[in-house]
Amino acid sequence: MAAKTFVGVFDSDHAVLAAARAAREKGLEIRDAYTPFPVHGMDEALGLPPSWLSRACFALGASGLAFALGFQYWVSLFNWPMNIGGKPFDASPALIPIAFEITVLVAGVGTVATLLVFRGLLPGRPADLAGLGATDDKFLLVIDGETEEALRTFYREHGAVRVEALDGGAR
Amino acid sequence: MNRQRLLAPGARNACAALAVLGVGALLIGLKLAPQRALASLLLGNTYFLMLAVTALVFIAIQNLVAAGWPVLFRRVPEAMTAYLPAGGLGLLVILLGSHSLYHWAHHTAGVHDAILEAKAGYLNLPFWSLRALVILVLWWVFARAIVLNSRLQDIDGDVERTHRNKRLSAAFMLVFGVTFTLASIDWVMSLEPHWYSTMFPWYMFGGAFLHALAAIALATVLLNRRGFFPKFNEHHRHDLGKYVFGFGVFWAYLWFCQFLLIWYANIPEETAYYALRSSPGWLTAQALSLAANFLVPSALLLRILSKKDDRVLIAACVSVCLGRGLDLYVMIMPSVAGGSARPHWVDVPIFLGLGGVFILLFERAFSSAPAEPAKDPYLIESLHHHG
Repeated sequence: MAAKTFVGVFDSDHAVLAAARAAREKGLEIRDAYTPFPVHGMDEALGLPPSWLSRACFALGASGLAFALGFQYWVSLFNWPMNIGGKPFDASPALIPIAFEITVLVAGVGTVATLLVFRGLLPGRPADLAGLGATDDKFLLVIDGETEEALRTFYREHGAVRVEALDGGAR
Repeated sequence: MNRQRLLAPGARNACAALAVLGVGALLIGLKLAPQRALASLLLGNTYFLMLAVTALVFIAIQNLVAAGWPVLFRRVPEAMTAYLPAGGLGLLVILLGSHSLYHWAHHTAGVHDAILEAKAGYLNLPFWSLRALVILVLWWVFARAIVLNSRLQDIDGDVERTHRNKRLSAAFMLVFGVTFTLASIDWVMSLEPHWYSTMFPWYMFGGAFLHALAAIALATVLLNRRGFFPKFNEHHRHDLGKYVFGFGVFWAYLWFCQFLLIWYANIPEETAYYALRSSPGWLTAQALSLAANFLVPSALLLRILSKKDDRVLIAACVSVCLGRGLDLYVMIMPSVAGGSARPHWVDVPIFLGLGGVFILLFERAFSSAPAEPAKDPYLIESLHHHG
């Protein structure tokens, strides 16, 4: 579609959220929103499908748990059994704290790493901003539309403080 | 707003009948098996009394962090605090029967018991009664003040009342930290006066707060089904579900912390507690308690969609409410019943009787004010809660 793409710059999270909802109702194609902090309800307003990251998180946590328990059992039963305080070698309660910590560690760090890798957000990537201000105190909405005039009117009606053409950045 | 009664007259009569049944069972039980009847009373009374005070903790936390989302259904935990005076009455009966229930209370000077003699400065009836009185008065005064402020705001719409409740909540949290610790030590842990565990008050709080969250979520969802809180939506359920899920894990964490410390150190005066609770019957009860408080709600509420689904949320909350009873059963009953985990005939009627009293008091308190705090400055935020 040979559409025009424009960036609306908003002053508040409420304004950008309302504009995103209105744009979806009007059938405009929202490319993305850029905000300096996570705006509650934005994923819904943008019509994003549920993220698969939570399932990745669960799988990572489960493998962390399996690894931690498996490794500890292997060490204390087969590799290097040691008598500690007269406890049995397969002293399960002693393994729980480490299993818990490794589960949390693998799930937490692994989910962040998964996000970074799959979104291509690794170090060295050039900055790719829809406009200045998205990393400071402005809320940006990027919308495709048929004509420049229609987009400008839409943004003005919904309280954008500035409207800019998208100059090559933002994917 | 709607001020209709929650319960049909028939349901109200049923609760009253349960209460009468409970009192009757208690009176007969006190004649036939006084120790068991008092332990049952202690179980039920602790169950509902700690629910009432941790419901106030829920309100205090929301006030302190200026959370808007739960304002819509804040009248539910507010009404739960109405059990506090009844809980005082229950404790009074326990005090009168303390010689049958608490080993330290009938410890006589003729018998040499070095541990009890060392603890006698703390574990004696006058001091125990004074502490119970101070604890209950403090809880009741804070509950009255915070609930009254919230209700008076319906009339005058004064924003200053929100600020005042914030200050009251801060003071209450400090008072609660100390009083709840003493309460769990005095009322439950002292059943085994030779034993001690520094994790016990934490563990008790984990269970009580989890129970309060489940009860608040359950009552709110059920009231919502009957037409209350028309703006109550899936995002409220999602947040309540997250609360129950998170504190289910927290409870299990504390349960395990207490067990691990004692298992690892393996000191006889500490392991006695678990040794008593490792007969086949008690192991089954412990496993059921772990399942009902942690495994079932966690598994049910893991997914976002199931937290938002009111049937799944109800199932998880019912599981926690049963689990809390089991948790207290495992804490209290071995001290009077030894190795047998079999329920006694007085247990169920006394528990149900106190449940009837709790529901009647809850209903009266909830019906005596509008269901939604109409002039709370945060109500708008709660009505438009979107996750």
